[in-house]
Amino acid sequence: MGDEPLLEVRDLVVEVDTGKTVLPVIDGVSFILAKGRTLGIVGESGCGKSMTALAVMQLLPPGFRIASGEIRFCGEDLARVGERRLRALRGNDMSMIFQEPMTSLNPVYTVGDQIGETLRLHQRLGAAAARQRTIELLRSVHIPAAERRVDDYPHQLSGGMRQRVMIAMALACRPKLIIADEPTTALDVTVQAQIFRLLEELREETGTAIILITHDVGAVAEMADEVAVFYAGKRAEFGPVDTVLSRAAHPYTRGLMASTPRLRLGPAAAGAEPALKEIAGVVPPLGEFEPGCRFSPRCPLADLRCRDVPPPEETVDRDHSALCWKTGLELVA
Amino acid sequence: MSADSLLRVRDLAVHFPAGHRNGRRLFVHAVDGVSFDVKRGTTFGIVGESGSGKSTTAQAVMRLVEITAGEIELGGVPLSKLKDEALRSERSRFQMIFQDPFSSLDPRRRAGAAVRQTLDLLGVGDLKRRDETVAEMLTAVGLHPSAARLYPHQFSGGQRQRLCIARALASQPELVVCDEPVSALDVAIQAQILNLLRRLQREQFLTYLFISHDLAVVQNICDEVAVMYLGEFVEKAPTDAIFGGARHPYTWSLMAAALSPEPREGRRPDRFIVAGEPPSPIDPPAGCRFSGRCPFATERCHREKPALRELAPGHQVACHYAETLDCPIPALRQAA
Amino acid sequence: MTSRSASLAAASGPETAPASAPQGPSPAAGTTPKPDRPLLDTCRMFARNCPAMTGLVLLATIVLATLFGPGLYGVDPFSMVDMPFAPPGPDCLLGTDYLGRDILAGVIVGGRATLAVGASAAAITVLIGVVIGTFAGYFGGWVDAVLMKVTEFFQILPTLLFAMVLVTIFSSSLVTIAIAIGAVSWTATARLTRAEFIRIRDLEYVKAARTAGARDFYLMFRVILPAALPPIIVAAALAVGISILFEAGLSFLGLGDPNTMSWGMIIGQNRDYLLNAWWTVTFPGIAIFLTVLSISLIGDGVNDALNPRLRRR
Repeated sequence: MGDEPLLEVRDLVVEVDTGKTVLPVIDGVSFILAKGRTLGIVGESGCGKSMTALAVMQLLPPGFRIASGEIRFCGEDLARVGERRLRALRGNDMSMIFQEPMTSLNPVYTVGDQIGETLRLHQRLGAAAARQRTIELLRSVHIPAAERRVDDYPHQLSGGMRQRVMIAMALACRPKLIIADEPTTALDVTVQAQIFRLLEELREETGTAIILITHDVGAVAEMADEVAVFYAGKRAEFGPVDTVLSRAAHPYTRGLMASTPRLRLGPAAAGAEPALKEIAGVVPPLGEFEPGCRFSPRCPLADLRCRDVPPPEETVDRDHSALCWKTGLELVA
Repeated sequence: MSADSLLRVRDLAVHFPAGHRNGRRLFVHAVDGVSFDVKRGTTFGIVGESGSGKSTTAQAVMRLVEITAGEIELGGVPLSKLKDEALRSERSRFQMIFQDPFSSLDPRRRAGAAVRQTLDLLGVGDLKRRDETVAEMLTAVGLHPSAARLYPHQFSGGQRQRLCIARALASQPELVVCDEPVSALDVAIQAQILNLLRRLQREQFLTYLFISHDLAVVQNICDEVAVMYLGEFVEKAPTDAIFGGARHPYTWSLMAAALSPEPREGRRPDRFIVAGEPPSPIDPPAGCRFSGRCPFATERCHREKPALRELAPGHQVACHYAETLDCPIPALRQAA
Repeated sequence: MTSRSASLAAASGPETAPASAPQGPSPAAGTTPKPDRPLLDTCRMFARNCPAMTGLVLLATIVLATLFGPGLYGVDPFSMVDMPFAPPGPDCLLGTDYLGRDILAGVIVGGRATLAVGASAAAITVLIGVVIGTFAGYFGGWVDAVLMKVTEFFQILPTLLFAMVLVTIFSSSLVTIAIAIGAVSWTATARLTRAEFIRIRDLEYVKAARTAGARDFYLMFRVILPAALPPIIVAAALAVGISILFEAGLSFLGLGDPNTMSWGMIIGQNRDYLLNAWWTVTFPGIAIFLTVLSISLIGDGVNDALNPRLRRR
């Protein structure tokens, strides 16, 4: 790890104004991302993982705002730098890849125009130079016949190709940070594997740090160095990915892993499939959380204290912490 | 196949018109000659990527799309030959669970009415009996009977899928076609629904035709699995056999691409990843349909279409070189 | 479940879409949500819409005036009560026309015919349009191709001319006029209905109803049509306004029913004296304007009230 972290998020609180009340969507989340590393943020729908990404990009939708906390990117506090500086940062030093590549590409411009636009804006390249660089970028994301594809419109490309274009666009200005929000959820598994391999290669070549936002623990295991597990707007667990996946300290992380069906290949395939472990119930609606731990109504270990007193940030191991009263206890099956 | 098979599908083909090119009428070959049997009380899985024709197969079995060719038999009744009223009167015997729990429920109908729909439309039992059935079904899927008077938008995604299951089971069908029933749900909810489907199968001796893109889900719930690519089965075997020793390169590519929540032992640079994406089902390749992406493809594969042939009892593979290819997945190599 | 959490789900996008109600083996227990009544919600939404309510009150006033007005203001609109072109004054509040007939009585009584023709022509418009659109959109294929060709044929006809021909061939009675208006103006409704049907017919709940044993007619009229209704209702409201204008136009051209007083007929018969006696055409004109305005305000209000995105605020 480098001396100074690339991105440091500390005690981030994002609130939504519903017209009647103001509710926290993200409630005191912190994490650190070093240069060239990959952080996986994993959680269920509504846990605040996408909002965290949008908060880092300072692109929160109307009605949402950062109430407190710090987002430091290369030492700058993004909440304070102002819109002009943010525009320079976005696309240049940090960029984002979305889930649905079709809706994030403009259908009336060619792929080349859209990538070229970014290059001309941020890097002040001329038209010819921008086109040349665009073709190089398309090659770097393994788009075959890039010289011809550069003049294609988005609808002429397959889903996987469109996502490659999005990645090429995100890479256009060699950003220090790429935020990928469910980049493969709309794609088929074999294409997903290609995209993950591509991201991995590009990270090794360019030294870009990646935040991978996903609902799939498998994707985190595949891609991430560190992982943050989100639950109901809180960061339930944080640590190096191998440690968290092999010795999960938070009951929610363990439940999430136990409820994911695993492929058993070869000799392991024989025999009847064991029933999956369930996490009972669902995430409570925003603003209807227990005063204590938000996971306590669904947690098999929860007692009165869990329900009434917010759990402490417990350090389990070096760099590995969990927001739980009972990190030491094993889950009773 | 043995006499206890409930569903028998033979040479099923579904082609959709797709406009004209150079004066020639074009067709999407969504399903192109698939045959399978589903035994009573078991689950038959069809796994494949988008555009493989797995959902179209499900809809053809449900008689929701026009069948171009082939036969479908449910417990001896030739479903594919039935028309209008004759087909309608059989509908209580085969029901469907859809993928999207949001669009598969009519927003203007209360939950109870949704569950009763089949009974009402087919006139099963008297009114009082139908109300009792609704309450029983809601309880069976883990919902409170009082939920019957709520509207769909008042439920969460997982609850809606439970509701859809209750609706499908209300008429006591023999066959339940599940089209990606858990792919729109969160992992924790997925596990709840899968376990529920397994429990209901045990309790009511249900037969499932289970469509999914997720190998791990298929392994969890199915007894027999067919892998579908571009409208055709490329491999079909009992679950243990296919996950224990798959022989088709496409099956390998799906298995290698599946993600596992296990902590990894270092990076996996040797992973078997096939290039490209499925070609258009409008003009499928002449030879083996996977030949364009298959790293093992030879000139013969591009030219000559491999037939589905039996390698071991019940284990069928459509590959010219199924016996000789060297499997790139270490776990599968151990088994061989 | 409550309106608050629903609006939250909408605000924070797909992320928080599920998980608005408790779930699990004992769901919905304890926190029994109050049963939702979509119709009541819609009415409430409409009632909160100020312009729409203004339109409703205005239209109600006009309808009541034409229903009960003649009883209260007992002047025969066909009898000559004063000298021709008497300006508005204490004897005749809105003046008299070229034959010395009372304009106010004409406006009050004429409203009946105008509103009746407007409403029935709109009903015919919607009926033809919905039936054609339903069949075209539901069955698709050659049914759709044939019906859409018919629709296009009616669309390219010059509507006013065609209606004039119809009225001239058959007698110019109110019934003929209503049918003529309906026959030329259903095409837009048909296209709208067809578009809605094509959008809805492939939704999974329609397939689910089919697997539950629904017949084609059930699917068309019990499953798909209710879902397609909101924009059709709005179109129907606007069709009433358009039909009233159409009827006025026909009467203005002298093709109205000569035995029935209507707003269009007052204007048509006095059109030559517009510059000498402004009141003869102005007051029936204002009546038409206010009626059409109120209907269009109501149409907009219904549109907003039926739009689920606007409903929960």
